Amino acid sequence: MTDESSVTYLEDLLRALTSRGVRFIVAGGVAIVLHGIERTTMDLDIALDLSPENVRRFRDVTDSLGLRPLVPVPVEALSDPELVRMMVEEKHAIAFMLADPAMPLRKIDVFLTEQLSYENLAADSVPVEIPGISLRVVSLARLLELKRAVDPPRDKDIFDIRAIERLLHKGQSDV
Amino acid sequence: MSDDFTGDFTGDLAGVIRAIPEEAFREPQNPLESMTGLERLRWLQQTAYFIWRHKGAARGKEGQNPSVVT
Repeated sequence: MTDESSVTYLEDLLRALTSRGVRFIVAGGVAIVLHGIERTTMDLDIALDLSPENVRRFRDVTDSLGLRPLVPVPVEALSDPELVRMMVEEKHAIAFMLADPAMPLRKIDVFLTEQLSYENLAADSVPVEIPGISLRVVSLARLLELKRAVDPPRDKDIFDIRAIERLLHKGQSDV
Repeated sequence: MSDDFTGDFTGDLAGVIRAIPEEAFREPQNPLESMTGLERLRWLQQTAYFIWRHKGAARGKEGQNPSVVT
């Protein structure tokens, strides 16, 4: 743990996004960890508000962190509904991925589909505070729905479904 | 890919997107598999550190009013 800047990479990324006023909702593995489930999470999955000014702010942050799109399409394309539609319907893309070319595990996935849009997930998100960072995170119940919709489920989805069900059951029995 | 784009670039980019193979939009191979043992260890330490610091930060937040989302 000698490299402090990389020890907290996920925190640095979340802090950079929130401090620049980027509107987004955390989903995927990071959300699952924040809900209390121990899980090896590699990248950050987010539902991003795709309004032009928010996409520009997001682009500024990812540029400053050295994150680049994995396909030769600029981040600004995310604010164009027709281009997003093309990526989803013609290329069957679920997410627009950006990563650090020097360290590909430093990766952020922006959801593209309507089901995983910012507008759709906002109503099922909860506020979360971690030191110096205020976030919105997809609720546990909605995470379970999303995980159950993955077809075919991967090993990690099956693990997550069982863990979320246990946690929800425990929450009910604690009431 | 960070140059500023102004105006309507839908037409140009539509052609670019059509030309990109579908596979390029899929999740890449797990980068952990191409890392050295030391690099892998350091990355897993980072993940473990994040989990240790923040696991459960959202606990008890279910049912809170989401209307603050703008």
